[in-house]
Amino acid sequence: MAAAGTEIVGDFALGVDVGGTHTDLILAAPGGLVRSKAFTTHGNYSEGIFNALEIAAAELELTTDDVLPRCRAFVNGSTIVTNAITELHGAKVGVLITRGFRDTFRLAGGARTAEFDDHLQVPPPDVVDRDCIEEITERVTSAGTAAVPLDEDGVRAAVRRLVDRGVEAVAVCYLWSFSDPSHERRTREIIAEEAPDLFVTLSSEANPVIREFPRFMTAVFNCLSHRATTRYVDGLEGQLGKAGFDGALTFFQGIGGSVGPEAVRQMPISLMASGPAGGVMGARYVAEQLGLENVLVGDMGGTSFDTAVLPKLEPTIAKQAVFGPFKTGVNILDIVSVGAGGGSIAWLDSRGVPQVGPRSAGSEPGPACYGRGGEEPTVTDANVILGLIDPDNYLKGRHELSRDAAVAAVQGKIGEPLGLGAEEAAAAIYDLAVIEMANALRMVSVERGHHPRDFTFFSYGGGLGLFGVEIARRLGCPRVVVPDNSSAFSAFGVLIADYVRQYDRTVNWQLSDPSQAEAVNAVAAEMIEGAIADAAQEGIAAEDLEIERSGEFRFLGQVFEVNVPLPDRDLDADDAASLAAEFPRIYERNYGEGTAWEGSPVVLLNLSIKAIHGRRKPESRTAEADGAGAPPQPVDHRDIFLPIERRRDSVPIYADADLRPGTSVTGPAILDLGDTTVYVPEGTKAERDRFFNFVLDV
Amino acid sequence: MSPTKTSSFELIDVEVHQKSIRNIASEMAVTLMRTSGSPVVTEAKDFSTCILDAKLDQLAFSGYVTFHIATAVPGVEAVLRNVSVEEIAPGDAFICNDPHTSGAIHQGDIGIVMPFFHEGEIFGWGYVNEHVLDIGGSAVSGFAPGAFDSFAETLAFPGTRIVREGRIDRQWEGFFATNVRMAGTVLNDMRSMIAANNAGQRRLLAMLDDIGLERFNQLNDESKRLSEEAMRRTIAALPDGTFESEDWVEFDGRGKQELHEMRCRVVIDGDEMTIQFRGGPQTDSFINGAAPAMIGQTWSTLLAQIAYDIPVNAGIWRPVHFDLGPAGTIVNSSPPAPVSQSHMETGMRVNKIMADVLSQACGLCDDPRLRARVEGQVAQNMSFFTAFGIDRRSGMPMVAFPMSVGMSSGGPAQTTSDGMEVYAGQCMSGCDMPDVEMEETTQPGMILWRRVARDTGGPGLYRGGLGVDSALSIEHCDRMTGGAYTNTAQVPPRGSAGGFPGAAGRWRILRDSNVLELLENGILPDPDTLAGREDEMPSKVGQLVLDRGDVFTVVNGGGGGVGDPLLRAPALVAADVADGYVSAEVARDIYGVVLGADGAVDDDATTRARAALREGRIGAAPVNEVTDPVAGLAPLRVEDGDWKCGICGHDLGPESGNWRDHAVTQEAEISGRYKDLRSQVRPRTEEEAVVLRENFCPGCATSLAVDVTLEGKDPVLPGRLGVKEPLEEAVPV
Repeated sequence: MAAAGTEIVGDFALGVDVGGTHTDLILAAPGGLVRSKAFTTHGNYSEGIFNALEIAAAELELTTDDVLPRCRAFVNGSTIVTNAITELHGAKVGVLITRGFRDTFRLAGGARTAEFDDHLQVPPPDVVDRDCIEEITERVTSAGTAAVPLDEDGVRAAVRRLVDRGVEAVAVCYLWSFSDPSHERRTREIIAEEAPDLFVTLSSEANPVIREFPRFMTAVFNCLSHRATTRYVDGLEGQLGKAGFDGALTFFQGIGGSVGPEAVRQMPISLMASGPAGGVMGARYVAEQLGLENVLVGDMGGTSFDTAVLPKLEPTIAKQAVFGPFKTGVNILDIVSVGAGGGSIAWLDSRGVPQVGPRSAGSEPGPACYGRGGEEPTVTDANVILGLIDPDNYLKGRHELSRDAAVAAVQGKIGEPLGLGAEEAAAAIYDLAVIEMANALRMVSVERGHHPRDFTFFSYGGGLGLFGVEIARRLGCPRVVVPDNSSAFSAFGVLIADYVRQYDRTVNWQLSDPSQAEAVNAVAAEMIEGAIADAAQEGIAAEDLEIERSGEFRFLGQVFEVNVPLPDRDLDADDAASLAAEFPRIYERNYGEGTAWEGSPVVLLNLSIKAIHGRRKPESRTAEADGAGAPPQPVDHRDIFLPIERRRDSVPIYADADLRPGTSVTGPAILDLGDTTVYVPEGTKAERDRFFNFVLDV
Repeated sequence: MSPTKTSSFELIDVEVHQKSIRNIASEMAVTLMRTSGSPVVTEAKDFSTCILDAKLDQLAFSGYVTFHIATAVPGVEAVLRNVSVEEIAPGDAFICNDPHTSGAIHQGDIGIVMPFFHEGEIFGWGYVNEHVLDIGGSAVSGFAPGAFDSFAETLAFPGTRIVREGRIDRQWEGFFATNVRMAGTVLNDMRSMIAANNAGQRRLLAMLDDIGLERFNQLNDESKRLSEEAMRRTIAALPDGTFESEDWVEFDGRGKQELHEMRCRVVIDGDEMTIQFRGGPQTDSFINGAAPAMIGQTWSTLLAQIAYDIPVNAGIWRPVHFDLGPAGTIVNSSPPAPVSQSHMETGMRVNKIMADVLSQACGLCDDPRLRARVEGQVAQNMSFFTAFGIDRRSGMPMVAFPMSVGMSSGGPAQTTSDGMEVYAGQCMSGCDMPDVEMEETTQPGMILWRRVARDTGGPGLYRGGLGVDSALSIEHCDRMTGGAYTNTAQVPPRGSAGGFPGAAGRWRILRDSNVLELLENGILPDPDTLAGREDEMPSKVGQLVLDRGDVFTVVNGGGGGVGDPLLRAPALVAADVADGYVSAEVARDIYGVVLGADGAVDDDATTRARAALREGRIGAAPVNEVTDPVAGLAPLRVEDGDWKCGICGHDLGPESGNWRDHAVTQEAEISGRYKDLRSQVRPRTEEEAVVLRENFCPGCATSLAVDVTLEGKDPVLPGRLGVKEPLEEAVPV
């Protein structure tokens, strides 16, 4: 980091993650990164962003006006689309749908959950008002032929009715439109004639893939989130422009890369679930620096724990992400989220067995120790009782916590019914939170054929430092990394984002018929042409665009696909033969020996194109990891009830500044990093590497 | 660890262990779903996985299909009857699919059993249960309406070893290939089931490496005890007493459209519950129930309604006792009774009858959590066909099993919400509705429409979920043969707490239709343009022939309502009319809600209409006023030795008698009354008319119970609190 007050030469870059409560910011200055945090300002997000920027700039003894004109890039991650979709609050949407299928959204592909409880089996909410769904006479068949022509007059009349009802955006949802989009395209032309100001999304453009309900939902959610997104993008663009910013403004997507304002205005749905994706991409970047091969990542917030697996540092993509009761065709990083955060509530189930989450005390009233009226015992309360969190110095003293309130809640709701003291009850809560998180990690690793012993666990987010090693221990994962800037790691991940866009099309090629290769190549060419045109819009030249092709394959008759990389060229008969021959082995690698469908034809169902353009990365702070000087000395000792060993011990506390690269401490120990605390359990060694990450050997 | 009291730290360890085992059962399920190609698995979730310990106690069950809860134990028992433990080697697997001998709920749901070995000893068993597309015989996809005995239904396996060293024996492969339709798909499904068991074995071995066998068994036993205690507490919270209900399994597919009576009595005695079923004589067609489906379906309802929050393992079984009565009846059939719809005919009536009995008990319960578990009966309506033909595009064989058309019936109303559409069977948790584009890829033609069917949900303070109206054309096969069924055509699902019954289901076939011609001419086939000949058909057909150009249409049934529809908030009724879920006529005639031209509630007219309806119900203006509509969720109570109206307190006679004798009862033949309800039921042409008996409080004219019964039949006895009177000749299972 440049020393304060000295002349700073070079340019800046900004990564911002606008979360539900906090706006995190990383300012890449020449020589190092500065992080800051401000409260998110709902209604006008720019305000919170500028507040955070001011704090960061001040650390360099600069102002916003000094920084912004010299910023080459501003990358923004936000929950704005996630909020619109989880709260189903957004633009008033109208739908044009193939006649006979207006109830598709009510039927919701079957909204029955896997829970036994009948009280949970309730009709899904209306995303689109029922009177804003108009049926249109038209039909494309499964063979891809437009058997019934589009009733253009019907479209015109329906659009007029929708406009009269105050619709702001229209999703066009016709069956089989991915295989013949002509009716949807013609419909858009008619809408443009009738109501040129309406925002329109064609299902065949939002998600040109077989399975109508996820495809239609993608178009509907795109419409739902467009107004808030456009307002946000326009607002930010305007404010930044006024402040003299003329670098590249981009927005971070759920799939992990970022794109420019115009792409976002057209396809706001691509911002869905972008929050947790930032950290995943950050972990990937740091892991690459460290030369690691396989990583698991975990991020613990106030209400949830998010986790993902990156075998060979490749994040997996969840096709057809599900939001609430709704399946969609949205591609996002495959992140599993469980209700185990700092605010998660501990309770006793009908057997009298303690459980943690998924209900959360949120930020209001928050954990009991916040003293804002919360009476339910939470994970944070347990940490306070155990002594893992210092109630007098929480988040650099910004919050004062009440240990008494924590004890009252934990003791009253968990301890007494079980005949345990407050500390033992708190240890039980800690233990169960570890289990919930370990099981989530197991879902993304073991259940997908990866053994945690081959992985390093990246643990970040304000609260996870207290749990990371114990979680890794449960999984048999040998090493934990708590990266530098752990508390604002999503903002860091956003900052280092590349330009990434993903395109999918259903081609349904049965490989035993090589004559279809030409048609498939034509689709690929068209997709790449589109990708190049989209990139050009953001000033990225075709030669600077990296194209990754892959295919989703399955055996004929199967319902789920396996993604397989494809060469970056046209496919021919030889490719068809070798892919068909190769696929059973790839399949068995995923699902075990003996599971391939011997003798069944192999189908390339969907073609995927990923267009990537690498962006300049900021410099991380580094230092010689020589462990120079004396070994770190604790600044204090604190009585802690070790949650797994279940005994009290006086544990040394180390301060951030004393932990120079190359030094190490052995647990039990607490590393106080200001806005993050790391708990080093007994027998674990924590070493600081030259990038200022902590590496803990489990 | 002490056998009676677990220390609290142990409690956490037990819970961690319980979650891990449950997680392993889920991983087995995920493996199966991911590797299976069958939409029956991936969309309908018609499968389950189960882990047993060496004592054959259930450790974990990942129900998707909850009635499979009852298959694993008898399945492994069957295996052990055929071979001794010494003859079993690692990598062996056995197939079970016979309801009479090896625990299957019907023959189409095959179970693959694998022993789990640790250091040369069997420490547990994996059991994967799945509906496969076919298992041979006269049954297409496991449904054999034409068979007169079980031998004529399908291949039947009494627990037979077909896998050694992890691979299906080549001789058996050849056997399946020659005896089963779509053998390739079915063999692949069996491989997926082996893969799922393998996944379970791998994870369990890793666990044993960690904690050792002794600790493993200790923790399991403790976990069972915790579930047992929770189940006991739930039962204890229900009122002690005797509760009962009756229902009728419909037409067996041949000759006269008979109704087959079945009865259920539940005695709650402290923390134990005895569930007794009795039924008419077994028949020579596939409707007969066998023990696995009877017990499994009983659990489906217990899990959905009252035991939803207890981890499933052997513990929950201990306080629940079953008694299926003497052998040879439709609730306890013996070989060679055909049983290929054991789960869907007698079995699905079990869900209805149990929901009725449990709702009566919950309604009289002091515990607020359980009192809120009153619910309507689920539509439980499967109206569909299975057929076999040759795909004219490829020349390959094709099995039609159009799930989205068949399963999309409505869910039961709850005391907290209206019922859900596409709830399907109560046993089918997690069930999805396949996309139109997927159905048109795998099924023989085009889905012409798919809409909710208005007025099919039972009216009530909370309304039952609606059925779905859809149509499938036959286009890709010149001819298909098989069977068509509906299990609920004439005796529809009842409501609870005075709520009204939902619609029954109905399929139709439009012969020689103009569907292909319309499409050739660019005209959309819909109910207005579609024309053809509709032959009168019974509700079940064993010898179904479908020709190219025929159209199969279904209007599925809806769930039963909860509470008197006159207590539903008028604004909700208006919204239902605007949304197309309820007609303006039903709003006016059944809910007593009058809407203005703009669709908004006309308050004055509604007040008048509701008063008039109440007066019509009891033949006079009610003397008592209704002040609290929520009380309508529990309209009966017992106080000072008398039945009382839960809404106005009107006395309904001594608790030893039937309160119905003191209510005002209106009876009507059901198909006539269903015209007012704009709902669907198949009229009976034979004797034994089905009737609707609406019982109203003489004090406030609130609907207390709407009975679906037979003409001339005595009313069913209400719950008798404190009386513990099991049926005689108890035959414990």
